Amino acid sequence: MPDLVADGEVVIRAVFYPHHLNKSGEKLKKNAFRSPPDKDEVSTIRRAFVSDQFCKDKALDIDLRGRCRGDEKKEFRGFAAISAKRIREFGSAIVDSREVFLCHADIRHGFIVARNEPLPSELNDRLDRLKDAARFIPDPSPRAWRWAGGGLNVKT
Amino acid sequence: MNDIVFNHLPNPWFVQTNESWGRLYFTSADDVTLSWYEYGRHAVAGYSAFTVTLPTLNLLDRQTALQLIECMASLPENWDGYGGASIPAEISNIASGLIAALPVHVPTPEVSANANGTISLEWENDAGRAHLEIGKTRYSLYFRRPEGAPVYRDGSINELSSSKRKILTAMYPVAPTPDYTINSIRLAATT
Repeated sequence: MPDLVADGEVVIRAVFYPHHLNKSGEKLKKNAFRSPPDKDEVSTIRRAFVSDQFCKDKALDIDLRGRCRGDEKKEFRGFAAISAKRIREFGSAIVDSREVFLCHADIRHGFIVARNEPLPSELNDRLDRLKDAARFIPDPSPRAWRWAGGGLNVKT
Repeated sequence: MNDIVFNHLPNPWFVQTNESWGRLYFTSADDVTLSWYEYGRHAVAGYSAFTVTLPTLNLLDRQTALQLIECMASLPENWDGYGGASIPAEISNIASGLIAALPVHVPTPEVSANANGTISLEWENDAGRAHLEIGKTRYSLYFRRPEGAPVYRDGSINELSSSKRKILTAMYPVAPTPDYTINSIRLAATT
């Protein structure tokens, strides 16, 4: 597997409700592409090297760990798929981060936001454009072990 | 004026005084009761269908948004499982005050808590998409129209008022009625 994420690759991000979806749970919010505090990394999976089921396994792993901790109100609902080329077109980077696990990649926006202070307006706009360029693929049965949704892909 | 069927009543407007009857209160942002509607035995607690006018719906939405912001203010550290920061009272107070002071013809924005402990308000219509993020000492605001360059504003929280007003005026230029009246609240047939 090459270190460089090619422009033609698609990366997949697990989507959780309510943080990444609107109230009705049908549309992505820009927060789906926002980095955690004090970090500049948005976790994704390089789709070209894994199966749909691998992505579901990883998403359920995150979901179950959250439930076990007990204080997180978030539910796995599906995936966002976006091409590496579009990520770069908007000004962000997508880099391999196999130290997390093989096939893991991070979207990096080049900015670490301070706690309790806003992102620059241009970066918020960029997150909005990333959200618009991504395809949300809902999971028809999020709690089931098997992936039963559509193909995890998007036009590159 | 368009009527909208409203199927779920937020709790603050539902004051149940008895198992089978009560009064539905509509209040303004400063808590003054504007009107009330008495419902009867055929209404199911808080979940019957009503038709309401758009300004009324905006007021109902306002209260839901204000409640949401109140909940955000009590989020603990790591509320999202990714190290999400809690939201200090200064930020939630600014967001609440801003929503409460919106002109009645401006729709209530979608409200979100952000992982870095800020609050976002978003509006979208045919004129474009506006996003305001409120921090402790600073704000950021952008307005993206279907055509033309986006407008970006970043500044001290004290300067927020004028930037916000300019953009909301561009998106929602006309107030349909300067002083609205609630004149169309009807209980729909229940099944």
